[in-house]
Amino acid sequence: TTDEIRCSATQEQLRGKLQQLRVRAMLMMRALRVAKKELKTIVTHAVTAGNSLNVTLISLKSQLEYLRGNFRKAIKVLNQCAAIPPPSLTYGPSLGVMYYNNLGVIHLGLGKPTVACLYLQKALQETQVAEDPSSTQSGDTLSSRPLYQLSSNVQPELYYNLGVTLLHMNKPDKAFDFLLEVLQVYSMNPRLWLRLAECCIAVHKSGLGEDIASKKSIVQGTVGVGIHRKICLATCVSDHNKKHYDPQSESDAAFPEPTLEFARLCLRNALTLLPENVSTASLTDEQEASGVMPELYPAGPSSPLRGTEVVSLRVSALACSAYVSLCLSDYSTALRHAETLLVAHPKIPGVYKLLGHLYAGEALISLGKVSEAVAHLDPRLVGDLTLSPSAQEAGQSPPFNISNQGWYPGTTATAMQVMRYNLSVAYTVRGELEKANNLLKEVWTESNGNMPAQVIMLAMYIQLRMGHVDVMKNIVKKNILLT
Amino acid sequence: MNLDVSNHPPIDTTALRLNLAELLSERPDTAKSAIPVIYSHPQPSPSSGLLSEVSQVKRTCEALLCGPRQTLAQQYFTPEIIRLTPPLHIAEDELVWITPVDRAEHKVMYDSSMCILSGGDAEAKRLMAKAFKETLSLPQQQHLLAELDKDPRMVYHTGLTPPKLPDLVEHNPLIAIEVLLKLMQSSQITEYFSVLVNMEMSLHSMEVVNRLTTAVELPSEFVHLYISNCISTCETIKDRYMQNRLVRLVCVFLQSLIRNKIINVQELFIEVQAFCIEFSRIREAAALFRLLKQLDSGDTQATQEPAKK
Repeated sequence: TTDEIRCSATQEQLRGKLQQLRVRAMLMMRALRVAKKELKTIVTHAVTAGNSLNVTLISLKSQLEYLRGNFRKAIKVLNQCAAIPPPSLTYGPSLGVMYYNNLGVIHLGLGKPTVACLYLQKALQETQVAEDPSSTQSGDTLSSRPLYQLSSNVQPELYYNLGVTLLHMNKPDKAFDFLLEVLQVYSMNPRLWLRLAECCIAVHKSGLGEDIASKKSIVQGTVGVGIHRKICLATCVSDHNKKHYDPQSESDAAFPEPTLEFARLCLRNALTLLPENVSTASLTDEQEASGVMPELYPAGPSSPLRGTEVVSLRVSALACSAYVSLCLSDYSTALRHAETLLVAHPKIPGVYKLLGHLYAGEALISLGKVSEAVAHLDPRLVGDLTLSPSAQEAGQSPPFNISNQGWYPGTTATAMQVMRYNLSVAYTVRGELEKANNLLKEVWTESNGNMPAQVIMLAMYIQLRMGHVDVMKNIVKKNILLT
Repeated sequence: MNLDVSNHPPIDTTALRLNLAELLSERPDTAKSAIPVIYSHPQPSPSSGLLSEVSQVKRTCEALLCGPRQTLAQQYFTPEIIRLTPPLHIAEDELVWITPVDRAEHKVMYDSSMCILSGGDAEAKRLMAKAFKETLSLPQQQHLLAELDKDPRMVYHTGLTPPKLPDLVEHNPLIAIEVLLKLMQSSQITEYFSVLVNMEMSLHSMEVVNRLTTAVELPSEFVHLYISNCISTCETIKDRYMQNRLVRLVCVFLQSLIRNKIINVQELFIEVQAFCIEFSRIREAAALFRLLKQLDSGDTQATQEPAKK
């Protein structure tokens, strides 16, 4: 009967909608194999029923390819949007917003943040265009619009994407403003707090120059002429520490500006929000297929975090906390964070292990416990410098190409040099000048003339402490061009 | 002022030096590790400056010793640690993917049936609960009766149970009457009747039964049982004053029942007659007796002999 036919037709529609929701949930859980199967059935259904793909399905297909790491294919699928009829006005967000945003997301995955930024800004423009025609009446722009239009407002999501992209493009001040807007809506996302802190650190660092200073800054200049000429060395070559110039400009640490004090607060929030004792085991294929849910932790507006991601977030947050504490001269806190970092997880990436030991060493030297510092600054502790978690999990995770941002040190050799240099500083402070000098000579010869200024300064310092002023002057003559 | 000190013997500075050493030993190594920044670096060739020697010295000293903030002479340097900045956190699936969906499907569902009836329900229940404990005011009674009238099934939800009936009868007989009338169809009514019959006789309970008898067809055994109860209560009551009152009430009640032909006098004749004779001192009982006689003689002309004491 017609009634039954109509009933089954709506049942089919409902089933289709439920399947779509299921695929969306599986993509958020990163259960990719099951999602692929389900999506295939939906698409074949739609095709056999004679309907062309609608916007939702194209977006889901594209997202699946993106999550699997096939970025080019994802872009191709997304471009199919041009071929289908435009979706009805009740679809939200609009086609333009969706298209440009997702393109931007894919390009950041490809490792091209500048292109991604362009697309995301275009997406933002599209949101403003979509709003204009409906805001014809003055006042009351909210209640004159239907509910579905209001719920399609994705401004926080766009701001988040844009903020993270700008951070990767090394524009931390702009990124900070965008991410601060997202904070108004999603204040319980630990990753967002970490990104804000990273913006603050990047702003602070951009005022410093390189971690490894150039030789020119070693000598301030000369004074006097003739026999009365004096040479004046610099007080420091690279000053990471927060300078306190005038007390009047000291604003409240909680005032949202990209300062190190604000970074400290952000990192504290991030560490508090991260759940403890997460399981990092990932689901097997059988478990995925049978509908077992992994442990997920909310991180709006992004997809929820899995156990491994929580661990790596904690590692990053601890490293940043130790760094910020050192810059603010809070050595005991820095030591605490560094030690927590080193025991956070049995398999933390090599880079973070290196940083943990370096920060702990520096904190201990400043706290006067040089012998413990020496234990941390052991060059044998430098392993291989990987940024991502250990290799056995790499098989599952897609090859996201966010580059190392040219992070120094790029190789194990340079990392070893940094470690040895810091160790010789420890020996110097303790008074073992000979030992320090020998170690420094190793670093000197290894760097092949391309040594950082700090090495030269330490060499000069050691010679001066040992009373060899002429050796110091030799060093200056050979390595630094005097005006 | 003579600055020539060569004639004076050198002063013993060991105490000072000891003090200094003690002070320094308390400081951490980092505080003791600074050295000055200025070192003598004479030019190998003789200077060909325009200034004289003295002014050169003066110039140099001024450059070293004067200045707005830390002068060159006050500056020092210490060994620096290389502090590497941590790299940006690498996250796999961090950016938000936007999935367009048909938002018009997401309609807000309202349950329009909420809070419509339950308000009345709750009110009636509340009033009923009150009615068990105290006499309701007239508007309250009217409200409760109106609620009961509105929904015929309401009476089953009022929380009335047979054990609670006596309280209701005592405090609010009118309500009790209405409720019982509505419950006539239910299976529980016999239970209610038994409760009514066995409850303590009083004006209110009689009123209830009286009204019930006029309103509906009550089972005859119920009425008989009730009357028997009443009579036995009258006989057993000790208080003279109360007894008189009750007897009067019973008589009036019986008269009304008889006049309305609700009971068949013949069935209860002997009992009622005995009752009347026992309480013949009371006017109403005597009147009832005369009525009985009347009926008896009027009913049967010859078959039954008038009962004689």
